[in-house]
Amino acid sequence: MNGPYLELAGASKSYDGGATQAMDIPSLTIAKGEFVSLLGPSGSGKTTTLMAIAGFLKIDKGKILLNGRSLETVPPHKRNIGVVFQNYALFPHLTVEENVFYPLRMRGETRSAAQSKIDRALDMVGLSGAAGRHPRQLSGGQQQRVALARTLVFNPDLILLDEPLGALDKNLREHMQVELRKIHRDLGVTMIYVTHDQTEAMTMSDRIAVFTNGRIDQIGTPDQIYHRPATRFVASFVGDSNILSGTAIGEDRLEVDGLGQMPLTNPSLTGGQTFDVLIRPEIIKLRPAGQGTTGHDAVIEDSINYGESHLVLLRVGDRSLRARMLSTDMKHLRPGDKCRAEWDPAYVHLIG
Amino acid sequence: MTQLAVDHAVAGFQPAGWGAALFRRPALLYLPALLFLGAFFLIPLGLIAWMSFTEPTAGLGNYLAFFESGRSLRILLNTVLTAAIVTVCALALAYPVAYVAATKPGTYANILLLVVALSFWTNFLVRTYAWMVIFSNGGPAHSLLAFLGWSPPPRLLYTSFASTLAMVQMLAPLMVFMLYAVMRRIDQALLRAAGSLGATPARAFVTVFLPLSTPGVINGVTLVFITCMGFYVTPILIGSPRDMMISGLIAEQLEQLVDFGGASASSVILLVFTLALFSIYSSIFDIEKIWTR
Amino acid sequence: MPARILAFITANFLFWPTLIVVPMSFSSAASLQFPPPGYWLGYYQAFFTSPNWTGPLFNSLTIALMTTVMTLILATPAAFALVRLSFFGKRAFRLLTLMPLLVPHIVLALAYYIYFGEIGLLQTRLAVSLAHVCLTIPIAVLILTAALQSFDTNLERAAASLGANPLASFRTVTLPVMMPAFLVAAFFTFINSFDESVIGLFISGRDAATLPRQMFNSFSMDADPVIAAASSILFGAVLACVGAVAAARLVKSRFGASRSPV
Repeated sequence: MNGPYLELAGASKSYDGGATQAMDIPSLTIAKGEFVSLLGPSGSGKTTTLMAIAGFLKIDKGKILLNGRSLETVPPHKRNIGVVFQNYALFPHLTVEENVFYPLRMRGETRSAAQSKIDRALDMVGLSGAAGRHPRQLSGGQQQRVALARTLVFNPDLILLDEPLGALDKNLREHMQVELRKIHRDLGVTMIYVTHDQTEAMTMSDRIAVFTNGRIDQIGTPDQIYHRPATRFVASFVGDSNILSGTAIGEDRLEVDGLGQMPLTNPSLTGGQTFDVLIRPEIIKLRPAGQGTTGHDAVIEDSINYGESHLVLLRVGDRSLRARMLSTDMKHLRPGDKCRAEWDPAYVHLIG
Repeated sequence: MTQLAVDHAVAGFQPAGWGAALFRRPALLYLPALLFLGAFFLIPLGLIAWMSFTEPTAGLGNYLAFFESGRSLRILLNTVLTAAIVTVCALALAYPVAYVAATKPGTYANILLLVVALSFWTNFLVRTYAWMVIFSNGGPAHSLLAFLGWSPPPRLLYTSFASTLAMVQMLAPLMVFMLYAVMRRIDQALLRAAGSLGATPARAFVTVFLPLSTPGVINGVTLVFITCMGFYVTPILIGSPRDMMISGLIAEQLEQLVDFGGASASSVILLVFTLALFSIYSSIFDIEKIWTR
Repeated sequence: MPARILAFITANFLFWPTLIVVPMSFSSAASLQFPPPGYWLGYYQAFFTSPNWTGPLFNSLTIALMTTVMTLILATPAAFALVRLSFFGKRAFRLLTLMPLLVPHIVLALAYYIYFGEIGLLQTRLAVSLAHVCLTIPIAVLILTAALQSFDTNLERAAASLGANPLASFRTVTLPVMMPAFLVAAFFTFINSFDESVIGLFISGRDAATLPRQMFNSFSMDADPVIAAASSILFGAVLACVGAVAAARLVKSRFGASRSPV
């Protein structure tokens, strides 16, 4: 990773005289060319952070630095930061081409001089044919592309995207995710992407920052976030999860509430330490009862068919567990069946 | 609601763009209108309030004169009564129009709205003139009664009947718009839901649509009643001079008697009455919603 | 369907009575005789040539124009303040901008009669305009605040992020996007001023007489049959406007839908 390109230091914003903490970020650094997602439920402060970086919102304390320069006194229109809004914010009175020309016009370029840039930007998003239309004549996906082209055309130092795909249907959204990634790779521009959709964040990002209550709970690669969540919130917000409470008994064994003792492969625990124990549903393996003696006795309470996989609701002792099984592995298991549930201790993650 | 809108509402972002520049000096924006309304609205009204207590002599004389005179009390009563009759008739006429226009979209609904708009925008004086022609001696209404065997037909022009009917026709469009604004936002699925739950169309109307349309009814009734109370042109031109409305009294005190104090007192009484009605309304509803869609 | 039948009755009640002014305007009789004994165009000619009518028509148009300009100048910043800013006394200010809608016109007519008499403006076009501005500020404020509330402030944010300074953003985005609302506000203001009869009747006097005042006077005197032509012209103007709006809507709904996104 390169040195910091965008840096937030002690940046905070509160409302109602400090009663509502909208955003409180001790430190967040983003490298040049990175694609970072700000992920969190609504009201968690991710959009506030985005708006603070864009300059639409004044922070109470702290600093925001872009390329080593403090943005504090720089008004939004001089920051050279592109913003793609959720509702696109295309100018309804201008054509597609005029929308894309707008930032160049504000920078004093003439239409004829800018034409090649406009064409290139529209070409990049595959909308060369729609140059003369008005935004309302376009579909949601096309409007989204125009908004992107309008932002790309002036080579911003940073692009902020506020749930840009939120209004699109599922197939189009996946298609646009791929295109956005491609544009990011091709141009190497730094992008910050706000979303509440964890799948979107996982598939697109170099790194993800998980927000809750105005704070960043964890920032890391998608793998780190998924497999090594730092907090219980991250574990439950990202992906499907079983979270149990456990107490260390010795260096490499854990007493898990309701499940009994469990060996671990990442030892050096201190006895008496308590943890949240994360068991992802897909690490659980099921065998018909009577085959072998390892693992836990379980009863299948229900099974929900997702096509390629099944979500299996298990009862183990007095605990409910969720397991994720490939459909091909579910041939012999029916709701009501007794079975054995087992998992590799190496994949169990402790949050403590 | 978009995510940004949620955050916006929660966080109360500063406006960007033009608003931001004036954020710290809002007075620059509202002061012109404030000063203008102060100088040309509040002061003139204050002036008549002042005159009602001071002209020709200081004291409550003008008000005592108003409330001790049988004639002015009768006029006040007649004003309220006329306004009530007009409001009820306008509501009865307007409700079906607004209902059809709001719930049965199509050519018929469009034609209805067109007719209402046409009527709404036609000058009060033009419509008053039309009624003058209709009710004049030898005019269409008169001839019709004669044709039906009422001989000789009664005088129609310069009667309370004529002016009341004309005011109903003039204010019904306003009522339609007030009702329509509320009715068109009523989700038609609710009526279908009521039907699926066993209500006949008539019962679905009474138990679902009617209650949901009451805000429109209250808006319309308030506005029509208030407008009618202050109506001047129509009652003066085609109404009965004996059954005057309070606006006629004010004009008479001003023009014939040159009694500024008395005219001012009558005006203040009408104004207080109007504002009292409105404050009752606004204690139940948000004042601004009455005119907005 | 009984509602349709009731609606039909009301629509007829609203429509036909007013239409009677049209045959009257071609009448050759100089009084309220209906049906007219004969037809001619003389009253229309009189309306456009007699100073009794052209004067008030000119006055009314001038007053409406002055009113529209002044109202927009005052109401636009007020609407921005009401929607965009928070300041001390905002609720009271909002109430004040709407108040003129509540005060009966006869009360205002008296108030202006006395007030403009005191300051020596009585019977001037300026006085009528100033009075009309008070009446139309609420209308313009209501239209503009409604439009501003539905105005997407992200458009201004987008403009800023694309490099537009506040003034450029206002000029290139806010103003053009709000233009329809300004036009509607201007139109409503103009019509309201042009149509206003009671205040004009009391304060415009002979010199600044408005068209409604002239019409009112010819009713009460029952002498000037040009009133029928005047009424028909006003009615025809409304018919043309409402018809044009309806036609525009129809065209839009018929052909607008086929321009669906590709």
